[in-house]
Amino acid sequence: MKSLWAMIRLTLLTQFHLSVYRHRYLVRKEKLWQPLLFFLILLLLLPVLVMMIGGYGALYYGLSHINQETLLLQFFVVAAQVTALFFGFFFVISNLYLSGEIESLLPLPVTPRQVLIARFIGIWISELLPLLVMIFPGFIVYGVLSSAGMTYYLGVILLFPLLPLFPLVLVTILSMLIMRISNVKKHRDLLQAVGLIVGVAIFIVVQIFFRGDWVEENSSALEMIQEVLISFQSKLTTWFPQSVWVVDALTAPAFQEGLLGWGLFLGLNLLSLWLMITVGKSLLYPGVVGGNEVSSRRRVWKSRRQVQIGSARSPLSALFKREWKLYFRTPMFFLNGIAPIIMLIGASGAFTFTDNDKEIVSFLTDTSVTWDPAVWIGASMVIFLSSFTSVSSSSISREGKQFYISKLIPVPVALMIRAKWLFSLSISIFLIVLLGIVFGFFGVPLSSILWMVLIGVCLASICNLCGIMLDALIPNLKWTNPQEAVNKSYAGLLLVGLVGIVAGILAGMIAIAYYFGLPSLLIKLITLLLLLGVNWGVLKGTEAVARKRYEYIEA
Amino acid sequence: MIRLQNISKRYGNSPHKAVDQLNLEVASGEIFGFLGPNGAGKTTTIKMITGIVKPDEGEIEVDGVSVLKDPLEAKKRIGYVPDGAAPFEKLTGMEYIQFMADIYQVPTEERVDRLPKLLSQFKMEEAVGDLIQSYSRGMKQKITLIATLLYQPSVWILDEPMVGLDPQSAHLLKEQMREHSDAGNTVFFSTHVLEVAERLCDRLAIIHKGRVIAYGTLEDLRKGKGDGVTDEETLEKLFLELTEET
Repeated sequence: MKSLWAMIRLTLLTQFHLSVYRHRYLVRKEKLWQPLLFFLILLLLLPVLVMMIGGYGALYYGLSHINQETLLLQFFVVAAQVTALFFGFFFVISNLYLSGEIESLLPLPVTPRQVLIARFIGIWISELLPLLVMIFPGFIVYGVLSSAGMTYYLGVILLFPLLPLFPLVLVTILSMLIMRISNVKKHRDLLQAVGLIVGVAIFIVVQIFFRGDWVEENSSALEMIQEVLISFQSKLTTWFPQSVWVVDALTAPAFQEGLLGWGLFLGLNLLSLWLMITVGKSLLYPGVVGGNEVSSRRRVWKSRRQVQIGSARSPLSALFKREWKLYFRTPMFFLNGIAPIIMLIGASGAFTFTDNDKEIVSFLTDTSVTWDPAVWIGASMVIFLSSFTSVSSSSISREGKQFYISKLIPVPVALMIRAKWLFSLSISIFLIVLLGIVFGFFGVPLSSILWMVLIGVCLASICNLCGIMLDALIPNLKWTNPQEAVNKSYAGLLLVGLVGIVAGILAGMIAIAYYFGLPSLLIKLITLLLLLGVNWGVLKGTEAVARKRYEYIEA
Repeated sequence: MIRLQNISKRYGNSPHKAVDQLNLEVASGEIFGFLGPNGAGKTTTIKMITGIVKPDEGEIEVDGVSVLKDPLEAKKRIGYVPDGAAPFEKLTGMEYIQFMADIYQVPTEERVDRLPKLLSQFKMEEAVGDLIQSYSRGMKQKITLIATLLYQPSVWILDEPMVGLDPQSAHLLKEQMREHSDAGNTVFFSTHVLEVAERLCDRLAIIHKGRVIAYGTLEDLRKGKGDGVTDEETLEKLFLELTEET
């Protein structure tokens, strides 16, 4: 038991960098501004939380009109479980097999079961934290609005932490099976690409099952909503029976369905945990060790080498190419950066291919409304998507321990920054083009799409420069797992907040221009010129900040 | 040529300086060994010379160019092989070499002339097309060595260069270091292998707790110890005595 506690303690200390933070802030008393910055970011995100709570409240009231309030609880349970299932797969694989930390445990006198339990606890807590912010307030909103008693809140406190457990157990068992059977750790990149395809497949399956033939033709609006909700609830009940058990446990009388709900939910979770630990005993270590077998396949490189040696490039081109290769050859960067955004845009595109939605598209195209809002909606989507990809806000952090090379090489810092800017801009342009195509499916005219692309590129460029500047100010170079470079960055969070503020100001200015009746073409032209000017200023500012910061940043 | 004048460095709020008022001068055409126990300040000193870490005070010159005032010009003259060299793992060996050649603007003819020879000498011809993440520690060290030798730096700085190398490669590296210094370049390296320092260095310095405690040729160091030290005294014994006294 002592070994298990030691393993759990080690996992928590390393996975959440507790030792690093304690040493940095309490022992060496360095970078004390970081905790303050963290609280500042939390404050910046507070309005988002308030909006979310307001949204949950509105949903509750909407559902209460048709006596379907409990559907809200069911939705929260499913949202928590789908999130854990979807993001858990990448996280479990990277945590159990790709982090390298687990290999250092192999020679220790601890059992695979102890290692698995300790790592699983770390994974579980990591998945639980975002759910606490996103979903937990929803349960409280429900409790307050339905005037629930103390037993409800006690039930929530006990059940909420268990919500992601079952999906995480499923993906853990699946990961261990994949690693054991195919020994694919030797082909990590391939594995992660397969992971992405699995993710897309899950996404599409969810799309198909939650769309489809919900609505009878010629229904009235209220009847249509009711039909949709009944169909939705029936699908949730079929596909996620746990959501019904949780709702019963929280809302039904204790000695009727309530007790049954508790029993079924806890029973399934305990059973799945037992199964995972049992199979993990024989699956975990062989999968970890299997990938360490060194490949002896070496190719003679002479013919290609002759070609490569002969082509000298400019430093900017070399730096850009380095950015490109390091990003796309590290699937954790790609999967945590642009892949979800591509999926999101792709799924919106797929929206137009279902029969029911074609009616909406034809409604939009048939009405003789102005398409100006599409330009601004598209442009604002571009900056939010660009900030969410974290390509720019992790551009320096991604270098990690190799940052010393950037300090060593005889290249002006401004040139390195331009390479990073061009790279993140190229990604943004790709997303913009993708978005433009989706807009085309919705029948948006080409001229509006072109305006959206022009203004979007300028906005994305500013957003990317701001991301690089923020990353230069607060880089995260001390990561052990590439996922941390992209996800655990203050710069990324700050960029989202900053983009929100800038977008708000810009939207206000444009709204005022429309209010005073300025011609639409003039507004777009002025906006474009203004953004070009801001681009130049922000580029110079970012270069100046980076020049100063590069002197002090140490990997 | 390398010149360090009164350089000091303190990390964070640490009560002790990692490097304290350090002075050194290494001439062109010489191999200079930088010795010291763990945590003595060797790597910090090297990082300050290469421009990776900024000193709190003092001046550093490489071939007469100030590292602090004109870092780009100074860096063009430096080739650095870090301790436990870890080049970009997601590039192939060849891509890394080409990246460094592009950055240091090595003309195509020189690449074509030097690279096959270096790859052959370090026996990296077959592995150079593979991703660096598949390399052993020694192979990573070799690919970093090749990348620096390709642009023929006038000041070659190596931090614990022998670690991880097989005996043939270590022998080859020693030959390369001698050839490089014979061509009028400076070779500055830190090591724990005192035998290597004893046989290879023209001059050496011993650093302890951030300060240079001995500096000169091996003969100078022996003389500095006075009558108690004979000519037969090994560097190992000298090193132990010097670092224990302070």
